[in-house]
Amino acid sequence: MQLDRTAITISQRTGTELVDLSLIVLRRNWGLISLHSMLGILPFALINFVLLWPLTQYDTLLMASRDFASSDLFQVRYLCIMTGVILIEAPFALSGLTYFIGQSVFIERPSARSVWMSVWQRMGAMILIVGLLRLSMFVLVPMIFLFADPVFRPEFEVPIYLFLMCGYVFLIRGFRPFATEILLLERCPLVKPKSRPDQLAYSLRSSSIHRSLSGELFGMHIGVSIVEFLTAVSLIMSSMFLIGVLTGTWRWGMWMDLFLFPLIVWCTAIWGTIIRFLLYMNSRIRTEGWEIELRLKAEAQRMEAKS
Amino acid sequence: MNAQSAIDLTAVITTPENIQFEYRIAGPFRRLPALLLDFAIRVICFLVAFVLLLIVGLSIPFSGSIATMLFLIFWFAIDWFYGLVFESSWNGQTPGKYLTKIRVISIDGRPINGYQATVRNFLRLADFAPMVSLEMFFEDAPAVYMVPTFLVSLICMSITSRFQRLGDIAAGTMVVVNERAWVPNNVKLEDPRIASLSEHIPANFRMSSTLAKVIALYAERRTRIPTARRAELASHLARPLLKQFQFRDDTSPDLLLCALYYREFVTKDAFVDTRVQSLPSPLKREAPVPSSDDSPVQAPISNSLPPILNPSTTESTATANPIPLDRQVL
Repeated sequence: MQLDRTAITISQRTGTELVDLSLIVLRRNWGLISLHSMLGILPFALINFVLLWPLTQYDTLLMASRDFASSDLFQVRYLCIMTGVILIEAPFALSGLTYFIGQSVFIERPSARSVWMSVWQRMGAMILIVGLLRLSMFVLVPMIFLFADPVFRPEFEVPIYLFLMCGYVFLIRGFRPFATEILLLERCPLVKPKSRPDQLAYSLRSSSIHRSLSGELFGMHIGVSIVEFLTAVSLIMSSMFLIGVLTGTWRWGMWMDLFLFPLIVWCTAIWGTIIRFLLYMNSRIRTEGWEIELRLKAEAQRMEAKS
Repeated sequence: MNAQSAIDLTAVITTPENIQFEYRIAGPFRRLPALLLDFAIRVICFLVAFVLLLIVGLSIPFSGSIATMLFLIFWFAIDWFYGLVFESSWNGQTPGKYLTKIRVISIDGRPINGYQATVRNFLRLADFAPMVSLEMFFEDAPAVYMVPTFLVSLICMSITSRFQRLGDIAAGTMVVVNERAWVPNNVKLEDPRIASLSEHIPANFRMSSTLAKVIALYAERRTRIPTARRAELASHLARPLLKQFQFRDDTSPDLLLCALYYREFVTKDAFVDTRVQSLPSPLKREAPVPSSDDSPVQAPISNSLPPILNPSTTESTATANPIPLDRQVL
């Protein structure tokens, strides 16, 4: 492996350049990106479909409600919950994709088996940090409650979903976005092992990579979130236009709620994962001189091979 | 991923004379601020024209319809010819592109001509497609398809290697970044030990082009990297170099790479320091033998140096170690 011959040119870039670069990464590897994304997303998408199905029975919910007179409110409620749930689940569901892109920088096309075996080896740490502390799996708990009793109670739901869960995840992901990369690509343990004193534990490594750039990372997070939101809106409107032209139906139907809308949000999340990985590379280049390290190592390898 | 060339935002153009130019391509999100700025400028122009013509229409009798007509003509002209006029007469730039440092060029690297500017600007509307109706948002709204989704341009740019939208493909143009690429220049090396160390590098040592690039990159970036990390980085390459030059193992990796940079890129006249003469050699065979009460070895260019020195106290040591490594500022 030649360390300075990488699949993505390692150099310092601006935020907009990273977003542009993510489009090239998507274009070049769309097949494998789709495969690894689908393998990770499928279980979560099925669970979401089953647990949030009762929330789409707008007319039934409207009849049971005394306070609300429009079914539109129930639809907005479903779409908000679905969006929030997917965005919270995304880092965990797309961990295979993160690992694949990370490996693809140096190794030619790792097999699906090797990708998922490596992710499986780090599953404990992933469940604890990303699944529970960052709520990717914990978000299933309130969904189960909603499944059991889908009646709309805004006094509980709005604070729980909007402010607590989504707000918490948005903030933590804004200031410390690289948890998945540290756990899966750098393979940092949760606790410093006694056998390897030079190995950094997850918390220390996370502090070292995020501390100096936290403000900038948060700004980038907000910028990327806005771009992702606008792109998702553009995709939704375009889908409706195309379906309207092809079928003559211009109204937002149930199939849109159940299939197309989650699909578009998941696609946005996949794109967000690629942008996050590129941002991770850029942060390491800026704070640690990563590209210099790779080139110095490669040059040292060449010199040692000559001698 | 490695099957093709490395993923990057550059386009290489080869002229008929077989000369290659490398351009940084501006993708859709690099171009977005320019689009928004140009849109804002056009809106301001509309508003100014509207207010002026309103004043004229109200103050002069029977001129209302003429003012409306003039406003519509102005609207049409600004909307359709703003980009065309600026790009064809201002080296492929509009005010928005100028402010965001991007410009339009032909795919063969030449400046765009009037025809190309016309085609790419007249196809702008196609890049906004599909346009959706206001009815989609408000049931009572008229069926006017005026909300752009930009999906066509986003898909086009994503699938073309030069981030070309429909208009660019038709006109044979692309948008590039108008900034100068990074050039490893003006690296200031103020530590006198660097020049001294460079004197001891074997005269027959020749750098490869890749090594020279890496050394230049390191010298340019090192001041922005923490000292400990700097030593860690430099040690990767310093280890085989120390062995090759037969230097002492405790020679500072950071200074060694700087010395290589100095030897390769800096002229001797650019660096004059009389203290250089007094520094002893880093070579293993000429290294001072440590006495039993000396700890650590007083090496001129080593990692294990005493803390920063007070010039008023130990004059002799200060001469030997003018600037401690862990506090050096180049």
